[in-house]
Amino acid sequence: MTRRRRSSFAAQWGWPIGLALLTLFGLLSALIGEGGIWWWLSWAALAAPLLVIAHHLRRARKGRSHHARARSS
Amino acid sequence: MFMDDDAPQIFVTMAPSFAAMKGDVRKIHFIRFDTRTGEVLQRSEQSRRQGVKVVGFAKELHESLFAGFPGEMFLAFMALLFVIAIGTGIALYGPYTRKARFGTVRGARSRRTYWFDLHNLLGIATLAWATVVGVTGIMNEMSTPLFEAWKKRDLAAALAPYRHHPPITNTNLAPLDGAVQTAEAAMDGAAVRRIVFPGANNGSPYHYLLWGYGTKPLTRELSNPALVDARSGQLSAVVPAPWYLSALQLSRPLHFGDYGGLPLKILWALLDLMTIVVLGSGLYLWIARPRRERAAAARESLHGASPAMEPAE
Repeated sequence: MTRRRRSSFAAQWGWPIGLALLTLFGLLSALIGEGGIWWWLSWAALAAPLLVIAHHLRRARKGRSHHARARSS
Repeated sequence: MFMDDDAPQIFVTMAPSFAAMKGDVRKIHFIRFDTRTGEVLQRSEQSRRQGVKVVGFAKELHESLFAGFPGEMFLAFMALLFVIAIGTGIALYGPYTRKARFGTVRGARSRRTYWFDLHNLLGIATLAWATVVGVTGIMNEMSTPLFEAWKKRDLAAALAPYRHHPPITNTNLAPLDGAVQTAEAAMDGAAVRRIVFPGANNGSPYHYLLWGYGTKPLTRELSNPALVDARSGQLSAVVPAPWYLSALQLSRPLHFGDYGGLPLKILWALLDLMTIVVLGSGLYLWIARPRRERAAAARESLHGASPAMEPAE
């Protein structure tokens, strides 16, 4: 019972928490580690939420049936 | 006087007198110099003649709605509502998306369902960024009262011994170069980039007030002021910025997004667009809310009873 609940929590909040942590890392990495690799890491981390959004929008546009199947499974 | 760290330019701000400046802020005059050539890049009267530019207009609108201090306080309150809206949005995200897979955008069902899913996806994906920009926005709008608090407490305390000293005149000032060296030595090699001259606003009538900035990546945003007696050239005090001024200084880059090159600015603009869609779709979802929610709201206002929350689909 508790395991099921924990896994459903991860399913629902895994992505939001992961993206939030990536965003915070991206915001701070350019601020604390100046220039070079830290800027690239910052750009990559802050692009992550945008890429995730783009991915899901493309998916919704392409195959609406895909998500319908995913939901019923 | 302010020496820019990001561009080879220096700003010198002047006024006929402290009283004249207090009476009419338009008496303040500034000149922007090129630090490589000494050339004059911009003068205040010239930029005033050229009229309000788009960026200046947007900045003023964004900071104070052209309403000065009350406008700043109003926008700080709006930013607070923005942050509260994000918080309540997270609280609603849980019950409303329990059954759906992350990122599901249903298009076939109805227009409202589509925008509902889009609102959830965009909102939850950008929530950390929007929260940071919202909170730092509140901080930035609070800069006027925070500086007032610092002046009334820390700066006033440091100046208390000078209360009965005669005012300083322009003819007996200690050399500025020496004051800068004294201040930098007193602040562990911080770089002085902002100097408030004796008698200027946000300064001291008897001192050069020199803001020393850190030279490490993070401390570059943080500055502390040193007071150097403008007559003797001796250090009076280093008045470390209190935590709320440090927080204000750190909240500037995190609100402006100007610290990671052009790619960061582009990402900033895209995330901003996402937030605008979240706000717009939120408004749409409220306007186009189902009749039963409207009826429930009406019942609630009549009887004060709160209806059970209905998860969407």
